[in-house]
Amino acid sequence: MPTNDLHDFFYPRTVALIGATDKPTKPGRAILENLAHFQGTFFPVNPKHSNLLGRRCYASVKEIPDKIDLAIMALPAPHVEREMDALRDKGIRRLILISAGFAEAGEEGLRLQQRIRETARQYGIRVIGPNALGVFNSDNGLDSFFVSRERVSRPGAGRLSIISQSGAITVILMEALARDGIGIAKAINYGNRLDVDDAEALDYFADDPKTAAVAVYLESVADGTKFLQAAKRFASKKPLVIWKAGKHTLGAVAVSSHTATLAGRYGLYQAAMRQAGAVEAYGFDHMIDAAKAVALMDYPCTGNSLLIVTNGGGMAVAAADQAEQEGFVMPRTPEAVRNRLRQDFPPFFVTNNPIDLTGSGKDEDYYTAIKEALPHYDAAVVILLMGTTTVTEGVAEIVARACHEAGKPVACCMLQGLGYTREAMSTLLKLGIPVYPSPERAVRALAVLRKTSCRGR
Amino acid sequence: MKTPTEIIQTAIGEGRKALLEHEAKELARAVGIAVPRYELVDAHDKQALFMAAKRLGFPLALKAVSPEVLHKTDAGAVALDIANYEELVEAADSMKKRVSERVPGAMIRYFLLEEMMAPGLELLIGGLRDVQFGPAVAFGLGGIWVEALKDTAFGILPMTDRETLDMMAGTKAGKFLKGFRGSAPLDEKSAISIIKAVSQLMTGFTEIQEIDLNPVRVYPAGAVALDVRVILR
Repeated sequence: MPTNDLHDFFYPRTVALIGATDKPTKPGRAILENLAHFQGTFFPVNPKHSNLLGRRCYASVKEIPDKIDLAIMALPAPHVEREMDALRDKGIRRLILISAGFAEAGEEGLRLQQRIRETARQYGIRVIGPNALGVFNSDNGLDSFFVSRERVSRPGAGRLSIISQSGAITVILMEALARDGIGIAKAINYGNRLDVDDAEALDYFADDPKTAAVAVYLESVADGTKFLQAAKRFASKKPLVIWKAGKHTLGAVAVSSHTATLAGRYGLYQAAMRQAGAVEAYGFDHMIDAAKAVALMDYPCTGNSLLIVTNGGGMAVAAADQAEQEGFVMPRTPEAVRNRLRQDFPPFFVTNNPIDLTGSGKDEDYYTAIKEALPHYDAAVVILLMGTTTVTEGVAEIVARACHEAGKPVACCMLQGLGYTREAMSTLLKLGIPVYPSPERAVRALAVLRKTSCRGR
Repeated sequence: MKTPTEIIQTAIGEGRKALLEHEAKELARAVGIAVPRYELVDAHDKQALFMAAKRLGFPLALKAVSPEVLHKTDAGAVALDIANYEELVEAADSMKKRVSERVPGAMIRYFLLEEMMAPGLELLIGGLRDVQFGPAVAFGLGGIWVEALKDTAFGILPMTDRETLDMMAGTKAGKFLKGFRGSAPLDEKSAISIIKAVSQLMTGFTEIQEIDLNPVRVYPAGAVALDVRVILR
């Protein structure tokens, strides 16, 4: 069992929501609804109500007839300070501070934040936030986000965890994954980082058995040295993808007004990522593609030789171009493999690498090609153009089976065929094969995996 | 030879925020970084200037040493490829005039006479201290290429040998060191030992804010820091 202080944030037995309300425009309402999915016990707190959405509401945490492991506070900033004593008296040691209006809002807010940091330290209360969404845990349904599920769907259970300095990016990433049917393990957004920070989150996830990989969105770090150490330790165990935003002077200005912290020099962040053994995501699309890759693909990419299987020549050429840029090589298929494929395939199929099944390629031809050739390569891009009449939606299952039998990472590229394609796409994703809307993105996703597999894991 | 602590403390004692060039070069030598042979002479002592030139041998580089002059090239405080005594006198006189025009109030205390070094691959090797990541080093193409090619990679200290090689491998400079298009490989080991010496200064002497070795010329055997700048905290 992890000894990290964050464990109690993700696995409380009991939760109190201070600032619970039925007003639809308030964050306390969305959180109240989201906590209905929590598998533990939770208690709404608000002196103005005795009952909220059919649940007993308490005037103060002190009246709750149970020990409270975690408090989630969604009060306006000026009210937060006086609530701290009640937390101490109740013996609460974990606080998620949702409220905005602190360091990000100017001098006054910064002073308030500093006072709360002092008080929390004195009382022995660990704090996530303020100006934060808090935590999401697919393992027990805990969800402190003030974003309603009607508006933004949540991913199911999965292997990837998310650490994000930005609340918006947290939600957008989670939704992008949910849309593809990809689950996540946990997510944390710590906002102004009054106490709990990036390094501590990495440390926790390094030991979290439910987390197999982490995607991090950063604008700055709290403590560079501590972050580098935590990232090194994490990346020596599990794949780590980091998107550092605010790279240039202009972006960096947006950062300091946004989170009230100075973005360090990008070159040093690049150094930290390189020295840690993390993979850098260069922007939003790359982050989503990389997150998908590490969330789904179980097999390490231990070398740089790439196989391409396609039923459209042009797409394979585009994939090969990108492969070269990413440092992959594409050796010809071995003689023995070519001979075997020639026996099975009509003479106009191309049995070199790329293997081109042409517009006549059938579902089983994909199986044959992958099964025979993939064992001789480190990874494969499989391009499925669903516009031809010879492939059916059944190809998805067949391709996935061939990939899992080979035990090598495979990224698919599908972008043709509308609803028909969507069906096959969701089957592939369900079976653990990531699908990308361009050959370049499929190759880049494998490159991410290749980089995460370099560090002696 | 003075120790790094003595060099740094002298500058701090005189209230300076940067080392003078001969101090910076002495500091570099103290940690094993090769610099061109040089002599420091009083700016008003022509006799000493001639004697130094005689000992070093032409061609020579002449630099003005002044606490007021931080950017030597901008101030006109550098003259290269001086071939004989006549050119030396002419260079010294015009340099005094030029510097006092460009940096009003600047006092040229000393001249630094240096042997001219053969052409070679020019690197930038530096050290810095960051508020978030602490001491760090910089590595990349130097000289005129710094701005145009933006080839600088950083490394956060302390670094393992593997991390140092990874940092270098990510740059064009790192590839050039290995030799390219049939040219002989350059002395990568010397470049690495300079990176290590800079690391040692950055971690061992918290008074140092920045170090700039630019350019460092790398040859098939050996590497020499032509210019050394050290900024104190």
